[in-house]
Amino acid sequence: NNNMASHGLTYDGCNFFRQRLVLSTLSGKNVKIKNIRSRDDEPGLRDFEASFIRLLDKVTNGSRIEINQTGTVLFYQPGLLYGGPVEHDCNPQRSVGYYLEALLMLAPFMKTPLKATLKGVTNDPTDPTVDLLKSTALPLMKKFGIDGEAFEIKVVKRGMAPGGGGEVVFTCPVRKTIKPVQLTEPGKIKRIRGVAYSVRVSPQMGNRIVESARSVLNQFLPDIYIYTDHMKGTNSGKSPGFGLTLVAETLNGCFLSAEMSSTPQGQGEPVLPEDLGRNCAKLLLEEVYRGGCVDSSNQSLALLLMTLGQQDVSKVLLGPLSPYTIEFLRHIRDFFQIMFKIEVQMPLDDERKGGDKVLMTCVGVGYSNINKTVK
Amino acid sequence: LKETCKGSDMLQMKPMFSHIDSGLLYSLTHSYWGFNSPFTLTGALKWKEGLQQKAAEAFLRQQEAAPNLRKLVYGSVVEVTESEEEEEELGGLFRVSRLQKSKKLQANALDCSRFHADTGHDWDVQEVLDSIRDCFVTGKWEEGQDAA
Repeated sequence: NNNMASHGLTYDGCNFFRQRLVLSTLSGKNVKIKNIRSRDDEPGLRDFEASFIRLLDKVTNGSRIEINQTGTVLFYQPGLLYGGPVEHDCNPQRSVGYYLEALLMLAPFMKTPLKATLKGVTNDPTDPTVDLLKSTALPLMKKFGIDGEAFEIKVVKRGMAPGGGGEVVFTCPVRKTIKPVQLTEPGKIKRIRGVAYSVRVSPQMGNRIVESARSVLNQFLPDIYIYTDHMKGTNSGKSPGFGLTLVAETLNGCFLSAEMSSTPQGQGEPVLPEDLGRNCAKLLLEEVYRGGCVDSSNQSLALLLMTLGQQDVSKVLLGPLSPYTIEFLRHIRDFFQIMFKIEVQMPLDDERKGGDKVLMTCVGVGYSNINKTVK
Repeated sequence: LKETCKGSDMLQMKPMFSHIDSGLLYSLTHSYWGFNSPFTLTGALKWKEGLQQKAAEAFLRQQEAAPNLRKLVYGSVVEVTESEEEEEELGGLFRVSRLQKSKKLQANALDCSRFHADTGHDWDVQEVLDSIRDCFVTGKWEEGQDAA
């Protein structure tokens, strides 16, 4: 499904939509996606995908986007990554995390530093939430030399699904080159932090979540602190809800995370805050079992930055590869002709450190940010 | 000693056994020795017979056991070679078209980076909890490492 067209790549279906457009933008190769829900009762692109394309158009300069009448075929010719201040209403079918994941991959390679104000759903059960990306993706990117004062994700207003009404500001400095990394030893987990958020429900919900999550995690560590974040008034969005994000930090500065959001209003069985806290804590234990130096939802981000690094060897230890990551590796091969060395590391018999790990090795393509202005 | 090791016979040996785990070869030969001392055999060094074949078989067994992730990720995806739609004529006038489920559904599935856990670990069971105990600073430390 990746037969080289005369000057670009062709794919089928709407899955892995963002990967394809992001890698196309970074590599400068055209991409054509056909058969987008062509057999569906409602064929073609959805509103959230159209919203994503508009966002991509805002951060680039000179992109050409063609969509056929039914929306089943998309052609994308990437322009230059421009950056600067950008404001976008993210379609509430997907949370801001969906859009932000792509921006995290593009932001370091802009001409001018990106300051994106994203409005919409900040927390839903489907995508990684802004809280999770804030506490895992940013420290990961710092390891690749993307650093600076103006590097942050700020939740200005919280907006739960389905209504949304949240606002997030993401600022990121630009880099000319990316530093190769050697992240092969995660180190032991020294502390667990978290945020229990709630809006338009009793502020007591947060405390109930914290109590139940602590009861599970205290079996391993005493150093646990979970903040309660209860936003009020105009900062609380349009829908009620609550949730929890947990992050385990290791001695070597690696972050493993898990999260859970309450069921969006009117979309199924409501959950009790106690159950949510306990189940989220168990999800974190599962993530610790998978292990590695990078959280499972940030695997692709790490692999992308390894690919785009200077022409030197990068090594990163991951937990089991997610299906999304496996497809990302295939796309990296298509767009950048880079294949990773993949070695399985099985735990020793007397080790109690979870399951098999995967050591990923590659030599970066020596990507240099040609968009960045020379000062 | 280093010089002799680099001798030509060593070089010839290398390609033959380089892919075989030396420990494996050791255990193969030793199990044979323990079982049947070579001195009791008629013909000297009978244990050498078929050694290469045995090693090769063991190597293949091991290969099958260890998942080859690189192949899984980059190898050509085995696609069902059936026609895209199964067409069936109804009274010679209408055609029933059915979707090829697996592949088509995957291509148009939800674009989401979340890795859903369905390992079936029960985190209420003590043994399961113990399986990750050393991932924490409160767990056991390896020799040469210090909690400080």
